[in-house]
Amino acid sequence: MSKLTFENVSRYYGETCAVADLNLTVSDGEFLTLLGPSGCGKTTSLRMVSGFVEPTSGRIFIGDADITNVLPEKRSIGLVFQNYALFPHMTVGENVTFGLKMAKVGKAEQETRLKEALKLVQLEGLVDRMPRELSGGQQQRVALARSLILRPNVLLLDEPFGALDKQLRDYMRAELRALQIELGITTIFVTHDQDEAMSMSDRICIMNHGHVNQIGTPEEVYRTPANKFIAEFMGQSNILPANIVGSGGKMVTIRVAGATLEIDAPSYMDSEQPEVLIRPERISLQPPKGTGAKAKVIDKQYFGSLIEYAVESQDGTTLSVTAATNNSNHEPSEGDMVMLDIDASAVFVLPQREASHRP
Amino acid sequence: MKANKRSMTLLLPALVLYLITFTAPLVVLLVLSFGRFDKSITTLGFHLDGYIKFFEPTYLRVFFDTFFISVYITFFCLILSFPVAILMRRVQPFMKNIILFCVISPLLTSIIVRNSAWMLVLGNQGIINQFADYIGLNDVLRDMGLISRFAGLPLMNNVFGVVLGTVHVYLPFMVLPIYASLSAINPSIEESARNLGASSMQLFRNITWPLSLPGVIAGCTLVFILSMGLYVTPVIMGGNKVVTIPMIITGLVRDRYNWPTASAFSVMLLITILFTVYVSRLLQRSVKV
Ligand SMILES: Nc1ncnc2c1ncn2[C@@H]1O[C@H](COP(=O)(O)OP(=O)(O)OP(=O)(O)O)[C@@H](O)[C@H]1O
Ligand SMILES: [Mg+2]
Repeated sequence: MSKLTFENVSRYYGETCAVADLNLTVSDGEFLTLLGPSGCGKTTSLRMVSGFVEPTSGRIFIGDADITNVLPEKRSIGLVFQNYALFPHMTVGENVTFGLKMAKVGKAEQETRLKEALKLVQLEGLVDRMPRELSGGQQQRVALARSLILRPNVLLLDEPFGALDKQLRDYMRAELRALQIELGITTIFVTHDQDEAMSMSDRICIMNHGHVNQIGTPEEVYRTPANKFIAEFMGQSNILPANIVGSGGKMVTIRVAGATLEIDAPSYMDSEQPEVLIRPERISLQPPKGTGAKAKVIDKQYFGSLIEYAVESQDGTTLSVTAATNNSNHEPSEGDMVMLDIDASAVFVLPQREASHRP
Repeated sequence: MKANKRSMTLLLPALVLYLITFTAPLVVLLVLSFGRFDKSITTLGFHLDGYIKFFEPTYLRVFFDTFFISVYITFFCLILSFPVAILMRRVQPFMKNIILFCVISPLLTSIIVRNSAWMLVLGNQGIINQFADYIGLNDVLRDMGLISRFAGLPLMNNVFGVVLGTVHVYLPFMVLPIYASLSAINPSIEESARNLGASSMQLFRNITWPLSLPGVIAGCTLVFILSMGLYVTPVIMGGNKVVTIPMIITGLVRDRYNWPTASAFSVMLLITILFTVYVSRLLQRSVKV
């Protein structure tokens, strides 16, 4: 019923293209994150759904209804701003029931729904406070309750946790996600924080320069990024030049960072010198013995639960490697020679397409 | 503390100036207001003659006339200014500056020039009446006995003329505080109200208007206080039909050298203004912004 569809949606500001030909379907009850660097068109996309920005071309649907030309106040879409945008002259209760009052819902029903909504976001007891008397997290929850009380078809959140400190942010993430699952509400969440996107989303839509680069589950975009931009954007990465040294059937043999590996040949590979992605946590450092690829530890940083190494292989490439700090791991020191242990399944050949098609 | 003392020294010239130009006349005014005026002789003392005179029906009426004219002026300034302030907030910066200039321009010319200009527009031989004569409107009205045989539309030499002339001059004092208040409203607050289903009217009633109240109160206070001191415009555009307290005070001093009564009236005017400021502060505190 309340799936959301973008159909060839574009938005230009003069010559600047904020969103280019966006095609996206958010299915009913899905939590989709728009992720991308600053200025890639995330906010513009949300504002087109909420009706405050008109698409230059294309159409937007909720369910089967075309809402492209519907007034913002008639769209039944919940919107939570980064700065919360609470009404400063109204109490928490008045803020939350504002939408009901506008819709001329009866007083008795307003009361019951207010109680429900405040319970949902755990704000009972703060009904009579003014927004300025609330903490950031509490204000955030008032904003959420204010939207949810109207039972919108779709919930839009634009960097809702941007103004919170890290601990509260982590807490609110978990809480929001639990709430979203409980209510089963179709949600678009905007962030430029990849951790946030990974931990909350059903699917992530990665944008760059107004273009969608990839849509997929957190695991898909992390493991099999569509291009180098995504590989670099989603967490730490080693993107290394590789040479194909042999092929047989469905397998190819490549040399990368001094190591020779036999990997599955991807269907799209057309270059003799592809770039490959190896995540730092998929490489392990072993004591230097046998014939494996050798490297030298040039930097070591300790982060409590894990250690980050920078190593230089014999062919001069620098790689970063992360290892969990547990007793069973070999923990070399700076200057030590090590052997690189790379699992063949950890090597992902990047598609050769250019990172982002700039307009 | 040391730095504080030094900055206090810097305040000294201003303080002296303030004492000479503001406090001293005020003291003189207070002392004079309790004096007695008898057979053209002023004697100081503690007499309430001036104050008692203020409450005579003739003068009390003038006071209330002044008061209500000020209320009209404030009211019309407010309803004319609000749309202007809203427009200024919506348009591009360049357009905004043009509007701002138009709003402030009355302050750039002398009040006498401005009011005289209105005479050319509103007078019996003014543009509007010439036009009304030309299209025959005035003849129709004369036949119906609505306006006198020799006059045109009564656009000045009455309260209407005075209010119009004054609103024109005081508009900036209303527009600017309201604009300041409006531009302090975060646009996302209005957007979220619309997102929650508020129509344009509901948005104005529930969000824009209450959030602009500090500016509205400030503007109304300013314009009201200024209007209570109205002198030039009623003289030029009131045509002896509109009398205000400042005109009475001037008359007392200029024609009769009656300083004590004039001072007592001034003190009463001052009290009215102080009371207005007090009410305005109460109102400011009661709006929850
Ligand atoms: N009102 C506007 N006028 C002109 N250009 C605009 C306007 N709003 C956005 N843009 C441009 O459109 C592009 C996308 O902006 P948008 O706000 O959607 O980015 P974003 O992904 O939300 O970035 P951020 O993470 O910084 O919030 C930017 O290049 C921006 O400069
Ligand atoms: Mg944004």
